[in-house]
Amino acid sequence: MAKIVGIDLGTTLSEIAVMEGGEPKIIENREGARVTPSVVATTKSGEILVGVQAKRQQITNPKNTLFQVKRLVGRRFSDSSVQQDKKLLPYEMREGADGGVEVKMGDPSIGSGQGKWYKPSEISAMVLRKLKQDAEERLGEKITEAIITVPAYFDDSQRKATKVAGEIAGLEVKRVLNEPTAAALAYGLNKKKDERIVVYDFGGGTFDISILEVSADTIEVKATGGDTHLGGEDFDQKVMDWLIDQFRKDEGIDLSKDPLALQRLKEAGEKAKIELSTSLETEINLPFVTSDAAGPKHLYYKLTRTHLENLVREYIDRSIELVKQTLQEAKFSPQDIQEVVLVGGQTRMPAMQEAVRNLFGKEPNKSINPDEVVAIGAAVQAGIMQGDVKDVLLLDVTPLSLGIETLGGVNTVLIQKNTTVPTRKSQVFSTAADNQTSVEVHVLQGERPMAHDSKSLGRFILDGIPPAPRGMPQVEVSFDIDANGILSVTAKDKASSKSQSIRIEGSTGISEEEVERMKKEAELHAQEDRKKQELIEARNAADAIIYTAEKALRDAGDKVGEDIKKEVGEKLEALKKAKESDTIEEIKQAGEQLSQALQKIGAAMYQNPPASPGQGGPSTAEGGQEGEKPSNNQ
Amino acid sequence: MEKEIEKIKKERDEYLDGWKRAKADFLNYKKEEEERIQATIDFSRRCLLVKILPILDNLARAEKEIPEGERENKVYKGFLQIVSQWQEFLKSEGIEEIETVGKPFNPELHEAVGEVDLSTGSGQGESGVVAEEVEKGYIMNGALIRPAKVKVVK
Repeated sequence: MAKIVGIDLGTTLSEIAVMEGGEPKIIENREGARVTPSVVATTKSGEILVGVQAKRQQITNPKNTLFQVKRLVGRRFSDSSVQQDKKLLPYEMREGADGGVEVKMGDPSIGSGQGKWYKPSEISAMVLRKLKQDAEERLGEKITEAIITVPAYFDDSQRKATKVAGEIAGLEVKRVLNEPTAAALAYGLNKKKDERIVVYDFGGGTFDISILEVSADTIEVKATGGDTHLGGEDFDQKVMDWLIDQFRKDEGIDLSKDPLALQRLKEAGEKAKIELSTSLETEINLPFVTSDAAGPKHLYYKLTRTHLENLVREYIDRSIELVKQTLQEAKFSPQDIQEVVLVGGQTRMPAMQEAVRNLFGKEPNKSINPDEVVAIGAAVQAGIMQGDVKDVLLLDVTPLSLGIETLGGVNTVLIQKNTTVPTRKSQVFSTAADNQTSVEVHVLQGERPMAHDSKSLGRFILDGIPPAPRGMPQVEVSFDIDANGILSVTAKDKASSKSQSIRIEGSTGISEEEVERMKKEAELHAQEDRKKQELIEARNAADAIIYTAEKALRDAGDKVGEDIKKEVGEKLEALKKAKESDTIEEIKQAGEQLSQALQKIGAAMYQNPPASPGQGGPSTAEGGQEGEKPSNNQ
Repeated sequence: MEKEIEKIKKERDEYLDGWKRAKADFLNYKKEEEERIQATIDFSRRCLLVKILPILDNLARAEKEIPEGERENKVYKGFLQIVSQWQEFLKSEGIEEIETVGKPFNPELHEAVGEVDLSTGSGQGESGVVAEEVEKGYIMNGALIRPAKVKVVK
């Protein structure tokens, strides 16, 4: 069945997304970008360019390059907003026969010399067609149906015009979806019955506020507000103005008169702004930015996050003012709002997030890329509409890791959390002591590295292992979870083929709250757990060296000088003592000294080779402590 | 009874088909995953390059500022060698510079940042031809890394 795509047809940028394997996914365009500029142009030779290529030639062809037509779609020419935009946009526009807007661009059939009047929806259709064609190329299948998003404040005429644009592009528009609703859908907020949601959408050039209410099976727009000429670009301009100002003070040169320098300043300003969302300070470094009679001039300034915040504070404050205003109009107070969703790249700015958090007293939803969340939500809506696709096989995942207890009380994980079931994993373990004839398999569930902090699911003993030196026997432990979440654990001694197993039903039957609690605990204790584990590992390693040393001393007999034996003996005692302490460093150091001393035995043995082949014990750095827990051989 | 068998048979076919499909899906996924990994490697290489390029742009700017007749000066010569070292590095990574001046403006490879008026005499050639390169552009294995910033004859 053909897929329905979700399209965010933006004022400056557009995106297209689709459901794939039950997950929404942005589709890259032919140029490999996830966003496509909403720009259309006709070249002198009559070729129509859409997207980044149209944008790249804009300067040389301003009369035939159309952008931000979303501001005009479905509006009447006499609208005050159209009259205002007319002053700002460089291309020609006029009133159509139906009272709507028409824009002029070169006619592809005769070249850009001759203009042709288009309806804004025809221009939007060209953007949509590119999105459609590029996506068809990526997906390898035809696309005929789409969901297109529009701002919540769009009236009926604007929605119709958007739908028409889709149809011109060869798409059956299954639904014209509100952008804030799409954002809420992307976060799955449609399931939160009787909740009110605020969507704070701070884009490149526009700022939109929407208040939504979720009822039984609809999301209703209760109020909208904002400013159609406030956006991230204003922030860039502020940074640029500051740079120009500083440079004028320091060098006496006005960079605003130099178009090439301006271009570099604009890029550098935007880059600095973006960097300051993740770091506290950044440098703006533009060598050879301009020159005068005295030679080249360089620009170098540091900008801190606080300084940037001061520069743009008025805009953030204004946006918060507008949110309050919209709330008031809808007769809500910030306390009436259960969820806040952030949309638009500028909302990555920490100061902006903080302002929103302070107003509502809660953490906003921001985990989905704010540039893509609307298109993602449109794809989610498409997925809901495609619901007739029957999902015969519903695959579950294990919510917590499963493992067994190994030497020193360590939780050795075999199946990681979030593994899709059914699944099977096995690992070979060994014994911890010489002539150990049985091992105890203790099945654990949880994220903590120590066995006693994890949940015990069951335990059993595998006996009848033929006596052998520690580390020699091979016991294979297998975990198998079937599609119903039933866990079977089997331990098998490879030498005797003896095996023992246990069945644990409902291994995933921990309540959701319990899962959350266990995950939280794991995070909380991560550091101290790591320390504990390191200490145990160090002790285990020390044990292995002690074992090797004792064995080496026994095997060495009289082939090694008394002085070396004495040294090894002393170091051995030192390590045994160190092992009882809680200092990892001390254990490691003593261990190292002992292994260095041990090398002397090795060297001496080589000089006086034994008559029979050596009975070298396992020299792995594992195990050694008395006990019946298997040692991890991996 | 027979109905029951019919039903079970149908179910079996359905499940077997589902299983085969799942297996095939997995094999296909593995193949696609390899392509995706390669694409990710290419992408991260490109990202790194895009970050390095502004430093090279500044070297090019510095080079332009070397006074006429000073290129043989020992310090400048050393600097120029560093520039050529960078160019060699780009070549060894399979990165080529995009041709600009004298070529017709091509929005696939060029980004216009200004126009040059023929009447002022600063540009040469016919309308729509690249008159001046402001910043170098690069392609890697035929794919665009960054378009060249150019001025075009009006």
